Amino acid sequence: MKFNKQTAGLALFSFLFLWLLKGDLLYHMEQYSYFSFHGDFPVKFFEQPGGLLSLLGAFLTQFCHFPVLGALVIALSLSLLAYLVRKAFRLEGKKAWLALVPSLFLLLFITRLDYTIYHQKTYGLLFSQTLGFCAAVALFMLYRRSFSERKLGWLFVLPLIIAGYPLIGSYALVAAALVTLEALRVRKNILPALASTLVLGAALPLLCANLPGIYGRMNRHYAFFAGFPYFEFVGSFMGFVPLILAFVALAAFVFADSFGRKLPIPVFAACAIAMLGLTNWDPNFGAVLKMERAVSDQDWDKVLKVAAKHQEPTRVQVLYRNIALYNKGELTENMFTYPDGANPLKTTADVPISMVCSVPVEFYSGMINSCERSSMEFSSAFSKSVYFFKYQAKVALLKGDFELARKYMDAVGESWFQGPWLRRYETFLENTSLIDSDPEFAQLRPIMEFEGPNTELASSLEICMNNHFESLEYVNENAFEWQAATMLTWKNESYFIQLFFDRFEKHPEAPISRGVAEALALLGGTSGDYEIMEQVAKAMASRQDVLRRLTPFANSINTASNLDNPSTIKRFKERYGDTYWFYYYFVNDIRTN
Amino acid sequence: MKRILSILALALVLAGCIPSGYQDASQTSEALEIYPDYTGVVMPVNIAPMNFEVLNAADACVVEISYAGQTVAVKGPVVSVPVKKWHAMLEAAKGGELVYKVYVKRDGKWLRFAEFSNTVAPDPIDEYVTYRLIEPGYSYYGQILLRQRHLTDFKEVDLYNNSLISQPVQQQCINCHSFQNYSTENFQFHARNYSGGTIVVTGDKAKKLEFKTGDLISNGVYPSWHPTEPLIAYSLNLTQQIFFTTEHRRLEVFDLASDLCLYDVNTDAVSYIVHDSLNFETFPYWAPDGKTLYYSSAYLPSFGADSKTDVTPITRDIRYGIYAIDFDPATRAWGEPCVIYDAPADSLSAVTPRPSPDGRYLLSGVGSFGSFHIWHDTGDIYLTDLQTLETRPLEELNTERAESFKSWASNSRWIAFTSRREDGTYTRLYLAYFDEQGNAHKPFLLPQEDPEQNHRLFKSYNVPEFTKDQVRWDPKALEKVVLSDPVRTHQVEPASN
Repeated sequence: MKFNKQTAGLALFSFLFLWLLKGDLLYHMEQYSYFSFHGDFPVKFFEQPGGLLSLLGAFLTQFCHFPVLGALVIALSLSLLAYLVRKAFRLEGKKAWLALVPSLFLLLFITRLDYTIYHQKTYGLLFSQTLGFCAAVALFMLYRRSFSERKLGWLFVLPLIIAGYPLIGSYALVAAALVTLEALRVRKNILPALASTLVLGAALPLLCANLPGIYGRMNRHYAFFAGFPYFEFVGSFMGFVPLILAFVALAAFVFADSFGRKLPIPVFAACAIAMLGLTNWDPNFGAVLKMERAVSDQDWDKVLKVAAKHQEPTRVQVLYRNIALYNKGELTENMFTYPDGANPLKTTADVPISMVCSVPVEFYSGMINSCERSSMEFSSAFSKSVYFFKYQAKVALLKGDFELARKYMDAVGESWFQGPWLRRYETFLENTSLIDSDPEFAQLRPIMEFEGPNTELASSLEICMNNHFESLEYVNENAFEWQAATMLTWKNESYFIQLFFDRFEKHPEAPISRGVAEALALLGGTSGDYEIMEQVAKAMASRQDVLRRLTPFANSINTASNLDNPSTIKRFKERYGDTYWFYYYFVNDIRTN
Repeated sequence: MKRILSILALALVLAGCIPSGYQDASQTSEALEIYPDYTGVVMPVNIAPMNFEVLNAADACVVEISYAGQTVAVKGPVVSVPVKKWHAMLEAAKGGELVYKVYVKRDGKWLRFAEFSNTVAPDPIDEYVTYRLIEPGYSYYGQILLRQRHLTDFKEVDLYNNSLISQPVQQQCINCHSFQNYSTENFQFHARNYSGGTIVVTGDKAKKLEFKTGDLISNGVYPSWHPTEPLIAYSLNLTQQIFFTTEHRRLEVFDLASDLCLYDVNTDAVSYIVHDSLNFETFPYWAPDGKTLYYSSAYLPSFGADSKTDVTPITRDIRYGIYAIDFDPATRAWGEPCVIYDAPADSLSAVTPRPSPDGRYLLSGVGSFGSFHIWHDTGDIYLTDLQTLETRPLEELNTERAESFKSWASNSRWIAFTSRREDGTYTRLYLAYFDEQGNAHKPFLLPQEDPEQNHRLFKSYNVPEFTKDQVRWDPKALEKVVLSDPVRTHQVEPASN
């Protein structure tokens, strides 16, 4: 197999693009995947037609643990497709540029992924579609080289669909469609090829879906979508567009002999521009993935650094930043120095914030049962993943459920490249006394002493947090940080003041963070209750700096004619955008989902 | 090519060979560890091979199994006996024992562990057990399977699964399968949410029910088929769950109200059995003669309307006892409820009564409070002698972790039950022998072809129910019933004495 210059160029471009610009996406996809050679894991893929593609995809996704390696493997798979297309459709000379087009669309399929990845149900998305096209083109090439000129060559369609559909799903139908177009091109066996493709291509999926005794778990709604990521892109037609374009390109290439010599390069250029233009460039999406990885690595400085680079964040970034601040002991000190995260998640899919970040946020805010629940729910409803197993293992360690932790760790260990993580956490199984002295767990133990009121399942992560932390009782300093942060987020001023004074009574010497001081000064001052104001003044003795800044703010607020005026908001944001006061007056609704 | 194939064939043969020299092993005092723990158990004469894995470190491993004067050697550490050979062994050892000797090779020397034995009971176990496989989740549905396992080998098939029908947005839950008198001729299960309803199968016919009618507080929930009549007793439950964020208990499932009703399969008529706002009645189960209905009931005069305030302290005070009510199959008239086991008097809560098919004993799930003991570490199995009404914990079956659902085999000699003893989260299915003297024996994990299967399975076993035969319906045929228009029930007055 020899790659020409164009294919080599595609490989290099894909590799660099994916590694440098989509490395965090590749890592995420690997963490949200799982692979095992054992048990019924490989067998389950064959419950549906086309499962082979997902199985191979799941296997190859493991390499994305190292984005550079993952990018390389994807680049090679795209190059393989380009090579097969060039050979199958005899695209030589300038037409060789056209051979890159399907690969560009498959690259686009990856680069335009958005928050849809949080409800992926199918394993191996990064590879399965490219492999599907490779298989379809390879089968077409076999036909074109060996059968297309034969009298009974059309019979090739029969084994193609019968053997191909179970393995590569509807990609076998793609290959059959190409064969039919080829028959049309050579004007030979048109009717038999067309009839066998239509009849068998329609009948086999329907038979598989309806006949008793075979494919007993196949959903008939998706009989013609087997092998495609239908669960991920339901209601989001745009997700399928790159795949449709790739197919259209292949269909057109059957007739490549009739293409003019001037056509290939402009077509390629247009496709390349389209690929770049339709790629998901949402900076917040990239930041979310980067922060997610940093949270998993407990690299709190990196979380804060990424947050600082994105000043129009989504709520997910705010929550990740809050986790980092808590772990650095700065939650209520600095949480209001960042925008409120009003930007929505840019996605056409129905992906709530909770689905994106509730597992780590619940874990690091000490709501470990909620973390376990979210992990269990998401992995049940979507797919089991190394990511969820890791959090479930950590929750089990914290709860002293060591057999359970072992079970999850064994599962993590089934996938490749998880050695460092495994070695770190297996230490705790070998010596459980190390758990409490580990910095990660030591930060959680105090908040786990706090049990809020028990509630029904809430649909939103932050409502759950509010339900949990809306307790007036002071338990300890760590819990106070989350209680205060949550109450201030929800502007639950009466609860906050009572909580603060409960704490002040028990620990009058405890330092008052900036966020708490700002809230206390504002809420105390606006309460109209002299007793509260007096108590606030007493408590705020150590934070005169905050009180000094409050005076001009209060004057400005009192003299502002219309707080809804954009220029007023802008003016206040410039001067007080890093305070609780700005949040209190100008952020009216936080985006909870 | 031929050479490569020959080498491969030789390698395969060698891999299956029993290592030599183990007969000269020296005894070791080291404790033997095998998974699953199949030591000292009583096994049915028709059970599937009880494959296990030797966990002790070994460079090589051989296990000798002796029975009825014969000995076979099996290569370890995964000890897997072919099904036919295993059944021949059990048949020969019927009423006797299988004696296991485990040898391991370390640093070139063979060591022999202390032998252990398992008894082969002559009493067979019902050939099939049906259970639900589901992630121990709370409100999202993934793939849920109703599976039927052939207990004499490893064949397992879907009775129904929700993958056939679930779509990205429209998810479906399935639960509460129930058979009439150990036969698969008549059975039912519920589908919830998308295209939901109660699926009732009678022979070759099946229908989907829209159950809730009249003033019933809910759809039918926990079912029990009358052993002979076309009747199903259901509980009606307004169920709620609350979540705990940090404490060891993750959640509490409880009812805000519950009643019992009787559904007539032929006429689709539903009538109340007990309908008392001060009592929460649930988990009905028929006596084998069909003349008594056992159920659980909690007396809660201060509950109900006030439930939304702060339910946590109240849930810990909900305790159920086991009751029985007489039924006349001819007139369909009910008698007066009477107490079988007053668990609240012992500060306990007893649910899911299960009378033995010989009518002599009754099993119940007992915990310190509540009704959903699978989420309670205190959940245990208790036995009531129906002749003396004495109740005791069935210590042979219980552990510090939750034991929950249980059922009797049709000959009353075997109990299937679920337990979270392995890891506290994933419920597994255990079988135990119950002798004629009323003693349960050490339970054993449902045998699997690959002993590691239970470690790698991330689903729980729910509601194991024995049957004598296999369900004839294909999942796709049941899917059509699930998608069909429902038949509506209608409420009637209960028959009077």
